[in-house]
Amino acid sequence: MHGELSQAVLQNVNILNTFLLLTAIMSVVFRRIRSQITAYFFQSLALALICVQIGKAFNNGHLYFAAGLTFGVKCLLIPLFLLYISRKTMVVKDGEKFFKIPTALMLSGVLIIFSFYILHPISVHAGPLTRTALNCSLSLILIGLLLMINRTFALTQIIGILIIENGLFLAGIATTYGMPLIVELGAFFDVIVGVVLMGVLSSKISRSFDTLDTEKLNLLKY
Amino acid sequence: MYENIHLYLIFLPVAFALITKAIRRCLIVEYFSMAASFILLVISYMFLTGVGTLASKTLKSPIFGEGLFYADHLSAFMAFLISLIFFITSIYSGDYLESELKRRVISERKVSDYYFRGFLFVSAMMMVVFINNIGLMWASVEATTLVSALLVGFYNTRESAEAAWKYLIICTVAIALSLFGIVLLNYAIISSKVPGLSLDYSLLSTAGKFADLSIMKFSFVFVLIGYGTKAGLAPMHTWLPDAYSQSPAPVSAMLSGVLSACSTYSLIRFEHIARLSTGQNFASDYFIVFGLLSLFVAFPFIVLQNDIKRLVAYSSIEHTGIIYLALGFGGPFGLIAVFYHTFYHAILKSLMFLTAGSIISVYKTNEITKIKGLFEHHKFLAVAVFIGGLGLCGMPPFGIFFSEPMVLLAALTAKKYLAAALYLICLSLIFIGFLNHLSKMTFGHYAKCHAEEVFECENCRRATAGCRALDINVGFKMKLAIAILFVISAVSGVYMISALKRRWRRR
Repeated sequence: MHGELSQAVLQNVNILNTFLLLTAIMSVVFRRIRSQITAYFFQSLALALICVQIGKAFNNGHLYFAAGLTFGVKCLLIPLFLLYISRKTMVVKDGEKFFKIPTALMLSGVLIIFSFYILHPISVHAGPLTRTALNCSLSLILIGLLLMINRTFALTQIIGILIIENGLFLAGIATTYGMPLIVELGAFFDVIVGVVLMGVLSSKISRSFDTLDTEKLNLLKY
Repeated sequence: MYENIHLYLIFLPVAFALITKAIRRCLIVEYFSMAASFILLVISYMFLTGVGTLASKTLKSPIFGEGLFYADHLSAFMAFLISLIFFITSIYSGDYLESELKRRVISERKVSDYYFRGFLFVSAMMMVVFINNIGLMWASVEATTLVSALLVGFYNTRESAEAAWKYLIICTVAIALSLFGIVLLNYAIISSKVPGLSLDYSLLSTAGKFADLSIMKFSFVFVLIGYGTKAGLAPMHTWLPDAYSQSPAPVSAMLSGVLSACSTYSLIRFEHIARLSTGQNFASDYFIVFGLLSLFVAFPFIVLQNDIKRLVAYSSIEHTGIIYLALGFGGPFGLIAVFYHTFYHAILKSLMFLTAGSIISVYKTNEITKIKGLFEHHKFLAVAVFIGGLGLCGMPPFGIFFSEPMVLLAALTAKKYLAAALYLICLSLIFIGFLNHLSKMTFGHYAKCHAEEVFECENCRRATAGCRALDINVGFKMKLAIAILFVISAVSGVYMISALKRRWRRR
């Protein structure tokens, strides 16, 4: 591809990958919406740092640009917007639906192992960066899905989607050092608009249902 | 001459949307949108007739350079279908929104909002159809989700907020999964080390076998789940009946008729690339399984349904299943059936949704058990819903009568006898269930006075007991839109089959 990464860069990226997984697991554990947003902030920060690391190794301006975009959108804009929405709808804590938190914690560990297992046919032929980072990205996607099905509040579901999106972004960096620029811009635009829409909708729901509990969204059946 | 038409189809709707936002007067906006959507229809028809004369399929455009857009007969067909359905729904919307205004369900500002979102929705779908880059096609499909979520949540009711939330969340997650598939495709392209290959469909579709088999398999499965959810395949269909039943009737027609076709279109494009590496049979097995599953899931919900719009929505799941079955069986019959069925499903399903919208505005209820004696009071609606419903189940002379046997033929040529048998059983069971509901609504006697029943008064919006205000007139524009759909489906059903026969003989 673009040549090989040096051992030091690889080590840094792997540490950051671990940090990404850690923050994802933290958001499975946390119940307060503010701590969830903080975890998301650190996750996006780690993602931007991975971009910078790889961009520095290959002297690739495109990746610096992606890092800047990630920092601006995912570390500043989206967390601030989510904080604004959570203050407006006055949500503090979230409840679990299927699994208690210790069980969910173990399940997310199982999901990480599972993603390593099913991606084995791809990662045996892949380079050292792709091997770990692609697995991390699928783990992030699965943990995001777990968060979405296990929590009941609308804002946590938005954070689940954002974690999935981070996983996708990581996959783009891990496999091909970033998707083509125009695709990346399109994806970023969609994320911003999507989060704003979800925020607006959730404040609409909290106005008309007097709650953000998605369990209460059960008017439509069959 | 035809080189730049796609730009008009993508960017004119945006301009129209801004104009409707600027006008704001609801009557002018209605007529303006009708005229504007007619212009789109004419342009896309010109493109459909002229697409064969294009020099190359990758379009050169003045601002964006060459290679950003791509058009062939499939894109022209989809563009025509989108603008046709949009034209008819915008005729219908005039009367529909007026009656909603009269009932004071919506405010006057909402009317121009509605058209604004509608035009943006069309623009996003045209983008899906004409874009060349697979990644940007993904971004456009996501854009259609975002815009149409605004249309689903159009009313300020709790139900519509719930439906819009479910729609937005489920479809966004699904589309995110298909982005993972596209990332893997990009990985496969780069690791194949073929020079000059990028995510452009025009390059990939002629590249031959380029990718690692295991990566492409992963990639295809993720994309199938993503776009399949958006198209409404079971078991990922749970958002669909909610969204279709809570959005305004013309929007349901657009969602069911063309939006699901758009995501099927993206999947067809992707599958065309994937099959170069994975071979023919890999994808078709998935298509057949999901198609049959959709038929199985739709059947009990259609039989037991008591909400007219949800009935039509579940029928959408059934027809999406049929389209995917046709894709899975493949062969010449299967491919013809895909296009044929997509077209007639769009026409007849719009007919059913629009008629259902009118019936609801007459009876003020969605419940099938409360809708009786349609033939007695509203002959036009009765004929439309009964004959249209029969056409949707595959009665002649409507187009679906020809496409459903074609799927069967494709199954028999592909020697998938078990799938063919299950397909036939499901179709006939659904037919019986549908006919039951249709005859319940159309025939029987509706007593106008239920002294014991409390209902909401037309003018004062207070609950009073007495006679229901049943005999309000169905607006002329509503009738016109329904009649156009009716004529198109009946006449062209016969015409197309004879044209097809001539084509067949010539070969």
